[in-house]
Amino acid sequence: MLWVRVRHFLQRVLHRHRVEQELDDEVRAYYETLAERGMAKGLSHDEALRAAHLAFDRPEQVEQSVREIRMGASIETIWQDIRYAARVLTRSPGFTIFAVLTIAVALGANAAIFTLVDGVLLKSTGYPNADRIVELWEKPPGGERNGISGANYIDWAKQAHSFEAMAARTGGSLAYTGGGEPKSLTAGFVSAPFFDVFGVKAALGRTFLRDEDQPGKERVVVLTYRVWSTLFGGDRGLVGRSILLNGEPYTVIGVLPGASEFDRHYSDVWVPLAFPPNPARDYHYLTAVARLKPGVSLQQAQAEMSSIANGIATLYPNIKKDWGATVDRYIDRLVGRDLRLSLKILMWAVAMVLLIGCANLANLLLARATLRSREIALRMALGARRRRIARMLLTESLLLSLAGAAAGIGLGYGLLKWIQMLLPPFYLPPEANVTMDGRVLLFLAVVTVMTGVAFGLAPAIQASRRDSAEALKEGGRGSSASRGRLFARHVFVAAQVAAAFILLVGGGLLIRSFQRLMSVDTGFNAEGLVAGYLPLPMERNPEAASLTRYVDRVVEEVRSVPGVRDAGVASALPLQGWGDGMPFRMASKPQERVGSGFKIVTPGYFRALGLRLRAGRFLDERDVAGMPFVVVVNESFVKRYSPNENPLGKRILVERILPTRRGLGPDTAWEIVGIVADEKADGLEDPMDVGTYASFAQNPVVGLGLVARGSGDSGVLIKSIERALWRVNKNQVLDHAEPVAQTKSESMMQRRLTTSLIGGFALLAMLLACGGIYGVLSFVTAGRMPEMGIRAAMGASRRDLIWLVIRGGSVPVLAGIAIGLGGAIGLGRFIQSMLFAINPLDAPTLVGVSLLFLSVALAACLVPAWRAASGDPMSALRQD
Amino acid sequence: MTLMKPVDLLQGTLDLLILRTLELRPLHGVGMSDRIHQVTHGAFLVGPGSLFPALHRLEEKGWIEGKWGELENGRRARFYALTAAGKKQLAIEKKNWQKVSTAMDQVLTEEA
Repeated sequence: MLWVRVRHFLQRVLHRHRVEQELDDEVRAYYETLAERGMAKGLSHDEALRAAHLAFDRPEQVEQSVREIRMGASIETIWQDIRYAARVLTRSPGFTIFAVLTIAVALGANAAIFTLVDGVLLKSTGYPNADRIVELWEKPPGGERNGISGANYIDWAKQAHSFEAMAARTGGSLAYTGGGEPKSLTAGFVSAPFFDVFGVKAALGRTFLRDEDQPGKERVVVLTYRVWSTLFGGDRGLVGRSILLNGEPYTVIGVLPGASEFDRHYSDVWVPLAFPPNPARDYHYLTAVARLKPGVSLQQAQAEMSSIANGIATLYPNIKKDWGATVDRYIDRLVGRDLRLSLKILMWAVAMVLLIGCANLANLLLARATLRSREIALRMALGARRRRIARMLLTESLLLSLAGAAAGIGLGYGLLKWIQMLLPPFYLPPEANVTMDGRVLLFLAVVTVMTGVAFGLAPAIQASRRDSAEALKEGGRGSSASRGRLFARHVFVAAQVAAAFILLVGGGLLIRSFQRLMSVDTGFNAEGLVAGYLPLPMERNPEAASLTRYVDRVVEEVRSVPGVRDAGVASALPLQGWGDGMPFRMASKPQERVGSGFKIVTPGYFRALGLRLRAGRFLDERDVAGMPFVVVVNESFVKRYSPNENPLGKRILVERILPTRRGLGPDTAWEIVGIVADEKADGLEDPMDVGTYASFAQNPVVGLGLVARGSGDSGVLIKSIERALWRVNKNQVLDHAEPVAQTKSESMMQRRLTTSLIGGFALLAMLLACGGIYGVLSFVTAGRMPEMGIRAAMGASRRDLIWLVIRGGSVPVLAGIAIGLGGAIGLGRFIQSMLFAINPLDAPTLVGVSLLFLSVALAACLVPAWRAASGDPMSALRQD
Repeated sequence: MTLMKPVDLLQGTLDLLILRTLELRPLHGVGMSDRIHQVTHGAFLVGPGSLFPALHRLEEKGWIEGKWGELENGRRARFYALTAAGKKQLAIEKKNWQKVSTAMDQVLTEEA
């Protein structure tokens, strides 16, 4: 019957016209037949038809009443069901509130996490033909991906035919000195075809012309909508005018579209990347993107790039021997492995919470349906059909899940905002468009209906299968007949416990990893330490002597700020990498090329960070140009390259970096004069962090950062440092200045977030599962009250009775935990790469989680057990 | 002959009448009106205004099914037939009606 109704409904919706036409035909045929009878009596056709119309209602009226019947039939019964369901639900507010809350929390968590997953992993990017965009890398010997040198990029761009457009890019910052204090803007330096690679057009003005990355033509800038609308007040007349960046005039040629990938990108402005006449081939600081020509496959492009790289390797064997090229599809590399895995795990976690919630509600509704079996039996005896009863119950559960979904959207939105607030800025790829849009609501609608059906179906089927006569006799107690169903309920509980247990183990492992990570020694003291980038006025064409003089003055001026205890500059800031990774040779083994992080610092860097000296000395004021070249290495360096002998006094051969930081200078022998404890540069999770420190005065470069340790409020400290910088140069900015402690906590933020979310979801799952245990046990013991009465009357003590109930309740709990332990082993493999310094089968975690679960489950059993044992045996016996 | 207007018919009664009429063979609209008129010796005259809504209601419930066919004179008309569910329903309604009619008889004879 349901099927018939659905078919009729669909027919009416899909073939509206035909259905209407058929109705008209049918009714008119009726009248025509009457008219023919009239004509047989000698009337004309029109007269006969008129007589028929007079005798009965007019055809239009008949058709209208049929239409009303059709509409009414479906709407009326649905409305009846909804009204009835609402009445039933308001009659037991406790149950309703619990159910709606359960669904709201489970659906809210799903909505928030799905929004993230959808935005980051599922939604396609807005770029036209995004699958034709690729990323290009140099392929170093023994590696896969390396930055690209300027000379190599130029050769690639000249020789490759697989691409419509190719663009190199690098980052930096520019000081905008339009009015008042200089403002630092994050700049993307890109080849002119960059926007053609992505297929992005300016919303206002234009993007770069193909020749605008040639020297002399590169003083143009494309603004992001973000910067245009805030810093420049959305002035449409700005396009065509010139603004001062780093003290030089740049013509604003265009503004990028708002609310786009480029508005979520960390670059504020885009300027052309112009190469000097003879760029270096041995310094790799570029990344590149390109757009495949239509019809060219990734493999073809890879083959062409490999052969071009081969040609370069043959031409320059001493620096490019065994180097190749790697071509990746751009969209495949948008989302890092860690983020992808975190999102996947979170999605599994919320799906589990939802399943546990559903199992919970299914159990509760089963119990309710049994308690209501008298009502249902009565309805059936009065002629209600099974399907109608099932539909009534399903309507109830759908109404519950709808109410839950409405509340869940609010909760999910809040959770999403909270997550977005905690994520560091620009943490997600700019292509990720994270919004609760129609897609998310559609997902939620589907999940809501599935949820409602999932937890409503079992009780509905059970109710429709029941023999009404038996139910009436049973009197709503559900004793012997429900034995089989009791087993089903125990299976539900065991499944909930197992799922919640696995989640809890996952949460436990992540929490333990996080604790381990928190206690990792960064090698420096972050207290009072602030750091920021220091884009210099001579960034474009630095000269060693003036560069050194400028930096000396900067350090002097910052050190003189009251409250600042020490300050220094470095080619990379704490916890933000090494800046450069340099190939080098030990002077004792000149044939063997190895590698190390290579940070160029002034002596104040060691003192400001509080790096710990292990042997020899720090770099100091003696180590200037003209003096012997010296370096300090870290403990990881010693462990890897000089494990069995004292490295002090030994020499390493490293090329000096040119002041432009765009190429390498002469090969130089540097003497190791000191060993420091590791400074965690590449983040806290990297166990080996091989690094070398060289003296800025002996190898001055641009692209610097400033560190300073001081006392008092870090915001105030940064402000006074900035004022000191302006005393040196009124346009000098300190870019992205922040306390290093904040850098540290931001570097752990994703882990912190994943850990707290999984931990939170796991606790929620456990509470839900224990709610399920409590519900089932309460129901079972309520049904066993007479039996308890008999036992009490026969002399069972209260303790015996409590034990009896707990024993019954513990069977599914223990079974669930046993299954959960098995599952936790599988889970360990799945999340291994997310763990830090902890075994996936960490015994304290497993034991702790088991104990926690057992004690909460015991509490859930204890309440109904207590109630059963405290009942008056006689009244329990008299109940029927 | 008392002419009972269709509105005076209880909905259930009309349903039962239609189902019963279709029990023997499928019929079209006019055929049904004629047949009810004939079998009740003119007691019930079921016009299109109540016949068609009832037919569609019954079809909606899946008790009868309409199919286009041809009359003897070649005109197209919709013929309705009982479905399996409709046959079951007819049995139930017959029983109910007998109960009601016995009860009514008792009440009425008692009063007399």
